[in-house]
Amino acid sequence: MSYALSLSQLLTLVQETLDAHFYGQAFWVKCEITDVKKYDQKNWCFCKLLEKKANQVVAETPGVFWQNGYQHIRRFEKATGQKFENGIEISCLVLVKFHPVYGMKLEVQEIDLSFSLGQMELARQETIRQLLLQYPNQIRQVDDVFITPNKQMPLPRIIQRIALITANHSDGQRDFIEELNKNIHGYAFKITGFLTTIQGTQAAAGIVKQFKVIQEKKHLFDVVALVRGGGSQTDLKPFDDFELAKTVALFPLPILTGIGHDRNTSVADLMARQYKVPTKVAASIVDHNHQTDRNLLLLREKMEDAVGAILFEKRQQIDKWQEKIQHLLPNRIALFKQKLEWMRLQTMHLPTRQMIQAKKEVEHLNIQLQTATTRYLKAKRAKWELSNRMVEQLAPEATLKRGFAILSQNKKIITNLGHIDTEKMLTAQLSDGTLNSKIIQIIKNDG
Amino acid sequence: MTDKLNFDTAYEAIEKIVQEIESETIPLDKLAEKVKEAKKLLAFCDEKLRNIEAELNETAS
Repeated sequence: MSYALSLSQLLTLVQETLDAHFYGQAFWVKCEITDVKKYDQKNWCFCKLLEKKANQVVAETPGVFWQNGYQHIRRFEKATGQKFENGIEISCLVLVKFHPVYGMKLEVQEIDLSFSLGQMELARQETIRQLLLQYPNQIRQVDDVFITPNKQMPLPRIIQRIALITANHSDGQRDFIEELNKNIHGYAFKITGFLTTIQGTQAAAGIVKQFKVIQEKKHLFDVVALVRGGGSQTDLKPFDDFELAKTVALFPLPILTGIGHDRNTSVADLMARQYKVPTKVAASIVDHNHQTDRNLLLLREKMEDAVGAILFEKRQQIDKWQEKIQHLLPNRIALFKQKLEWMRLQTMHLPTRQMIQAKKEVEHLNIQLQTATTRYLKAKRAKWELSNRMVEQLAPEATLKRGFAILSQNKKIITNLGHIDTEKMLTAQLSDGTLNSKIIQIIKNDG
Repeated sequence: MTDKLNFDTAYEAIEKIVQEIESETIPLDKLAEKVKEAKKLLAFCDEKLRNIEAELNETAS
């Protein structure tokens, strides 16, 4: 009879053998995860790690994330925007552990983020490649920007009727509606919800279905808002889905996305107008309406200015005319009036004026007369005085006294030799007596 | 005109009137009438922006 080991002895031996063999060794393993059970409070996660080949499972083992490994799940979700859930492929650093009761498990120490990001990016790039390939006339890429029919659709001047695709009771829904309703300008909105799951494998199909519902009554809406809250720890994968991205790119109403991931941009974002988070979508709608509102105000101001300018110009014209009229017609009247007034005054004051004039003239003449008389008298007097003096000077008595004598013959005064009768007596009268004398000789002056 | 009036047509009508006034193609005796019309349209747009009920009633009718 052979010696039988107890099960625990055997399994402890397995444990010791494995421990000895794998002591201090960790391995990077590429695998898919499934049966994910997260214990958020304890920071534990149990799952299955498996490998498929041609859809056949060729390897499978339980995996576990203890506290240390669990931090890497959080990091993974934050970095990739992808939920740590069934079906994703990861590359992780594992320790091989065996326990007699719980069996073999791979203890995950770390997740290779660059591998996961690379995987996602590959899937994303594949979607983009297919979009460009299948819709070459509609979807084009210029550098990093995608030109799609949806993006090129102009927004209406005001956005009021909004079809909102989101998850019911989600943060995104609440934030979006709140942001719109709290707008300080008092703009009114009508929001119609098209609710669907926006996480997990069914999300993309659910969203596409809602787009189809909206398309059937598109005349009732101005835009579609596709929003999702919850930050970056949620799954971005559905928004890289080809069908969804295609629907968005070709949708006949402008789509505004706020998919709530601040690091990555989903393919759906690239096909529409992207605003990152729900509140930003709402704020952009309010801003858009405000811009229109401002333009209306500007138009009003422009109109008032233009009307003001026209009225000012016309008023100036009228003022000019008025001035002209005042200076033309009334001026003539005023002139005429002035003339009349002058004439009236003339008529009224004519006798008086004439009298005054006559009086003045008389006075003037009077003065002239007086002056003339005085002057005349003065002149007369002067002449008289002169004559008087001459008479005095010419009186014979005075002459005789100065030594002269008056000669006379036959009582006629002799002034020249021609009148002398040499035969007769010549009387010479002096101042004190008379000489009777005979002419002896006549001597004429020379010349 | 009021039947077919929506925000965009009202906005465009305002733009047209303002342009006409600015280019002085409106005769002076029509100016007051045009300004009155523009003001009516502006009030309409203002009402549209701030009151969705009007829009709803319009859709329903």
